[in-house]
Amino acid sequence: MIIDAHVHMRGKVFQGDNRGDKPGLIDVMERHGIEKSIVMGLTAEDNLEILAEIARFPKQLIPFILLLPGQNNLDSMLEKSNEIVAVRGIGEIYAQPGPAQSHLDYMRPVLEIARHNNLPVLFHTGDFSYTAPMMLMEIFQAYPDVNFIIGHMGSHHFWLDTIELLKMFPNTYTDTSGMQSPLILRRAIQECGPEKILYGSDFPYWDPGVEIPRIFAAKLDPNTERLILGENATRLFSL
Amino acid sequence: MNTNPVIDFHAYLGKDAYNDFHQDERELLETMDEHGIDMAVIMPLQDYPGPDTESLLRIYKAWRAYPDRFIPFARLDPRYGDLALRQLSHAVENLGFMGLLFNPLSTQTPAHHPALMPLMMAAAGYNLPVMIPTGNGYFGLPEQVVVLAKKIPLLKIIIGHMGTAPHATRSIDLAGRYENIFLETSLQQSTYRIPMAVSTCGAGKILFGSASPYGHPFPEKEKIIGAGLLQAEQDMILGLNAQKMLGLP
Repeated sequence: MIIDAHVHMRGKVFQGDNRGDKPGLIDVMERHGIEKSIVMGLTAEDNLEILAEIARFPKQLIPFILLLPGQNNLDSMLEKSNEIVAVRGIGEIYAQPGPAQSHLDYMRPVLEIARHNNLPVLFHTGDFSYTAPMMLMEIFQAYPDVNFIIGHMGSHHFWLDTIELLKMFPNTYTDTSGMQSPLILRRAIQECGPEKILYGSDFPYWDPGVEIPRIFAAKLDPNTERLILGENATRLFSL
Repeated sequence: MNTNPVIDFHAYLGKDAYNDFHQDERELLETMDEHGIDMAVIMPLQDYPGPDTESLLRIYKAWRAYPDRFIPFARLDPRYGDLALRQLSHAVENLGFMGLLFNPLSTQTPAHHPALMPLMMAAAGYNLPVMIPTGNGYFGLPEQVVVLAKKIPLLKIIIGHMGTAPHATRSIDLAGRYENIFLETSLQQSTYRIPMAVSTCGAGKILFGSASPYGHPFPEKEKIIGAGLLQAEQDMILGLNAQKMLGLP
């Protein structure tokens, strides 16, 4: 069973690229044997529209909602969303607090909602400026009862930082979109344990037809491969 | 049956400073065989001069052992000035190296730095293609590479990783505007950007690469095959362009 822990629906990825729209996503999942996908939007404005589409595929699509600190009425947005479909997490958050405040202070309104509603939070990581994973350390420490997914395993430049964070905080996990080398995946498994790692594609930015082979290229033992490709997500998101 | 060659234009041998990334010729050959790669451009994982004093020798030995599988590129640190220049001459004239890797990140040198020009002029004089990895960081901007391309129009420059995700779209645009700039596909993860690059700068400007062991030939090749290209375009990217650029039989 393959569960893709990092998928987007709609949103402008590349000009003229509509693969993120339904039925593109469902087609791609079927083609690559993906049973379920954790789906999130790219902009907060179309949360409700996206959730309505996700709700049409309750067996395949698991909804996350994008909540950002600057939005008004975060609680009522979550309430409205839950009327459409039961939201299972928050993300993908591209945190941009600016130089005047910490990530923790900036994100606190959203983190309180996550804690109160027992929702995991997925952060984008991997770019310079504000999305280096180490900048989230204070958040992981301040909210030990919230589970966090470090998106993209820190991407190309911050995979070592991500491994350190995974070892430091029991409430942290990571997804493999952005992880490109079998050496990195095997090192993360060795140092952090396979339970911390979730397969993710970041579709439609990246393609499961490429991202699943990245997992296979590491030649993991079958149990570890099963955990990463689906069993860890099943457990973490109570699917 | 398709008999066109598959050439990985971006692979490494050796180890990095802390052995986080490492690969020997046996491991690379095994992976190449498993995934249908006929030949690979091999480059050291560390700059020369540097902590790995064997870095260039390792490439030379692997190539001599498997001349029909490997294509040797030198990797030099321009901060060593004349020493790097002399090493380039030795690598090309005495050893037969066929290209050069210049890494702006590991050498902390923007591609337009005036001190880099003698080494790049020498590479142009030898008609060597120069691989310049780009990506997420100050020294990885494709625009910095373009300044070099404008300074030395005869120098064939390959933008390694197509800028990776943050800079890929601009790298594609720049390769379309500068005759001496080519794109190498590794670590830029989007399948969708491959046909985008073909339509912007032509399939003849694009070279398949894996960046192994930073990447892996299996997903990297799947990215090209899954891009929905014409067979002729796919064949050019997977190997014919490299064959032509390097003058391989």
